[in-house]
Amino acid sequence: MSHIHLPDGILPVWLWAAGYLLAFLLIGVLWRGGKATAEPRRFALLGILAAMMILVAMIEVPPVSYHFNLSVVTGIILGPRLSVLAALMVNVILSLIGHGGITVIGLNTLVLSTEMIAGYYGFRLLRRIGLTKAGFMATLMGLFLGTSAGFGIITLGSPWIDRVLRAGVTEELGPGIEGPYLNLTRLAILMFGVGAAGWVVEGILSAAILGYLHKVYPDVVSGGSRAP
Amino acid sequence: MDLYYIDYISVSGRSWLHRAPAGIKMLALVAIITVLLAFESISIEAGIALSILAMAVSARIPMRLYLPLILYPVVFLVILFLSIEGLTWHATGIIGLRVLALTGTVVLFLMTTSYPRIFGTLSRVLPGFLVAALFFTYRSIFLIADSVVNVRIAMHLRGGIDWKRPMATLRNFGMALGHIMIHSIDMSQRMADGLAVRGFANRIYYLDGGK
Repeated sequence: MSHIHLPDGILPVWLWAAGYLLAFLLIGVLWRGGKATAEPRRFALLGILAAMMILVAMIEVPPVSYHFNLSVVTGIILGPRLSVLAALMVNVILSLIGHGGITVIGLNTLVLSTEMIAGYYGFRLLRRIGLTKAGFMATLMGLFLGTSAGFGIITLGSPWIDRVLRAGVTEELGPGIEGPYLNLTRLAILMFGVGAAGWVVEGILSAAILGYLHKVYPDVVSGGSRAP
Repeated sequence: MDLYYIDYISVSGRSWLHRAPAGIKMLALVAIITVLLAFESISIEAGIALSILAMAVSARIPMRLYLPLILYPVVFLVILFLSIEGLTWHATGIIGLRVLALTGTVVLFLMTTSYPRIFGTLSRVLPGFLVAALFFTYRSIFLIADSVVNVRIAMHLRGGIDWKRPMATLRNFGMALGHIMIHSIDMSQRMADGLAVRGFANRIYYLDGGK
């Protein structure tokens, strides 16, 4: 999978409350109290692309329950300011159907925003090596940073997870080990190892989408600035 | 498309849970989340999970739709559990039951409360532009869902999806999504123009206040 939606109940309250605070702070700063929304066309574009991310996330690819998320392509089209709001919309609606937790909407928004914004800047930076190559590399970069953000969040919450795991455990498991604990190295191998396959698949898909958009509607992939 | 069905159930349902005011259900949701996060007890978590399941049955929520949705976090739980050294049954129960009970509660809330009622209630506490963005996103899902389904069927019928040829399939899939994206962008601009003509100014108003 290229992206993991953190569920409810596995992270401490201080961490997800900080996630909400940071996400809303970011939106508040980027949107200047909502004054910037006086552009109905950009606003409608945000809605339709966020909806597209939600719909594509619901198409499962066999044989595993892998799904695409189009975060980087959407980030490239929308640009950083609209991306953060789109990430929030996607996470709010997905959390209500069980894809990601309601308490961790703020954290999942930060993770998804990281993917989108990193993808946007990565694409602009690499644009000179060719559109499809830049799209592929920007997607890898965005998803790697998004997964890193997700891993970083779990690492921050790991002392609390360890405490929950040890609740009710009375016997020692081994010398120096007081009870079950989250092995962050193993988690990193799983998240980045399994994730890497997903990043490549998503990268190829993103490159194909960007190539098609460039042929038919070049302004859309011009870095977001000249999009409708 | 699950969202169509979920939307249909939340809007057309006539059970006691569907009829309850959205604000009260939202407060109950917050209370259940607080209890589940405050106590680390398998019996409390199991009790709440079973109660939520019983409420879903009494509200006539179709289990073939409800259960797969609440089991989605299992993908994450498997990765988490595989990363735990010395995992015990007790820890598996504590974390697994908590996650499933929380997800079950949230999904039940959605399946008994329509999105416009949720957004209407949220409009009392959130800034207008956030609620308007939620409304735009939700409305757009149904505007483009048919295009996604139609393109997917067309790709199947014309042999565009063949996972024995993954590169070609991904390229075809990418072009199909690009096509939907252009169609959607055009549609969004028409929608924006229509709203501008009607005097849209960063805020969606709900006549019943989301009750």
